[in-house]
Amino acid sequence: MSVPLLRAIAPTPSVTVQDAGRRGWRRFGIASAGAMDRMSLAIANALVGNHPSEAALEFAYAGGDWAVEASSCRVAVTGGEFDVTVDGDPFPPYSSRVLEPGQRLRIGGGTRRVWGYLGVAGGFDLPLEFGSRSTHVRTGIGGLAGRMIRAGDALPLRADRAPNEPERSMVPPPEPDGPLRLVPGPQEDYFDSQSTSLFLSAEYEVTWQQDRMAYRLHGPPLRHAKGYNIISDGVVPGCIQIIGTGLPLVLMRDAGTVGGYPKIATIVEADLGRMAQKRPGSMVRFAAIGVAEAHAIRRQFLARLQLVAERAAGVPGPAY
Amino acid sequence: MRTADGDPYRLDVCPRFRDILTDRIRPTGRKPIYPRFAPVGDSALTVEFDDAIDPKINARVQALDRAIAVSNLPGIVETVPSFRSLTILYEPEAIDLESLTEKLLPLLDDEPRALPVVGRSWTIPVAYGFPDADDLREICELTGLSRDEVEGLHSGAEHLVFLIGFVPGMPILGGLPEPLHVPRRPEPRPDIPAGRVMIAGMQGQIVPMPMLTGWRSLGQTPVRPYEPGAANPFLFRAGDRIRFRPIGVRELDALAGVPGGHFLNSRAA
Repeated sequence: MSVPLLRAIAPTPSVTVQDAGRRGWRRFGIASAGAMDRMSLAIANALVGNHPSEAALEFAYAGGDWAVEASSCRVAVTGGEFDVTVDGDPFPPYSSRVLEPGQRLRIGGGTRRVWGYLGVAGGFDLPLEFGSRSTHVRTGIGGLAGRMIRAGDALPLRADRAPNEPERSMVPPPEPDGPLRLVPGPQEDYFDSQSTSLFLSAEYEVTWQQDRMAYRLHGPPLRHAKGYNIISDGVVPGCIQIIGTGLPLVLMRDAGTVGGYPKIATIVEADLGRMAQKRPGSMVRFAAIGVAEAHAIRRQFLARLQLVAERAAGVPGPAY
Repeated sequence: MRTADGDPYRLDVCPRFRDILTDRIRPTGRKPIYPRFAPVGDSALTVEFDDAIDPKINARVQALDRAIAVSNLPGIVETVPSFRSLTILYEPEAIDLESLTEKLLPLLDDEPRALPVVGRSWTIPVAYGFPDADDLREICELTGLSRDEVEGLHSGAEHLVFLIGFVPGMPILGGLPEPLHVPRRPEPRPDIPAGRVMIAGMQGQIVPMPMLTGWRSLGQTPVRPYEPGAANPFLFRAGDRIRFRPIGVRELDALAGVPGGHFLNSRAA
């Protein structure tokens, strides 16, 4: 019997395998990678009966054409209001269905948000690298041969057949609005009070210079009080570097492990997925919070992640 | 936040700063008081020991890193040593920042005692001037040194692995003799292959995988700092010490594919 697989017929040039990312290897220069929007990854997985942090396919703006070469495979698309069809029939995001051999899944574009996820029941039969299946294209680690998915690629599936279960669907969780919350530092003292006050009151525009590594923002430039070079130190996804032009560069999941620009503040985990889903032209604002409040927000986010995944998996209970 | 000349935080500008501005977590003096604890978002903390690149300061980073590794502190996800600071990723679900800093304080040595050398020592062969003869010629022009002098200075010094980073497995080295301090190239070059021994400013690096860099090439080593798929894919660790040994192109070829451990001199106790 041949290996069950998902075939990339015509993927968009943005598709990678992503899970919750890797940890424990930053001291050797290994970036975390992982889903740009953890909530949407968790829901895609829950809708097909997977663990919330199982690996799925991540795409930007549209996903392209896919087919299964297996007895059957349950799939679900989340992340945004993408125009998804199976053999031309609508297949609404945030629902599951079984894909049969010969059928064509087409993930078209959407009007809002950036990143989408295609979850497959049972997950992909791909090796763990440094504890994760997330692809880090720049260093060739994880996913399928450490690279983006290309036309003709075969992604091995763990399950040959969709389990006999009822289909699932959910209303996409409401998107919290309001400013993106951040903890000042670690180098907020590289900016004078006028600049930090400007940073917290200004609106910044998300630009086209956005990828898995970093988002460049446009808006009022800040003044560095002590130059824009620091002795390189540890960075994490969410760190906002103020580069030589005085403009913010938000580090995202694929960012390296150390950096040499001063970091005025760091976006909290709960809001990093929201940042990731902002399209070019979107305006963002920031609000500074303390660490204690950041921890409370993190607890709420993790609880919500759990709750939303339970609802998507059909566990009854109060709405999120 | 703080003004340029070190005035206290303007709480009226950012009233919600107050709860992280306890004296312990963030001294409000006119000068930073080291070690300085700087939160990095909701689940990381950077402990800064100073604002300089110096082996003595780095030794304190290494000491804290080792102390944490043997401490059984709850909630530590991983630690990331860099030149003058240690970034600690933690799980707020397991430990809050105040408890974490309290538990870190006793691990901070003001004057690191004569710590046993735990870094390992390496002798790394280099074919100087190969294959980028132009790079070495430029280094000679910039420094006013002869090729032999450049080789002699570089291979005569002990280089400390300050950190591993920017790309997987790449050692960033300190200890470059001052006459060899040269600026980066104005434009970085892409696809610099693995094994290039490079310098820029006061630092050195050994390229682990094809990458873009503006550093200048001294030569080529057969040693691979990163071997994807190997059981131990990373040859070097922060705190290791490296000496370079000049070799010819023939020996470079002969050593190609020799396992990295071959170049290890000693293993610390």
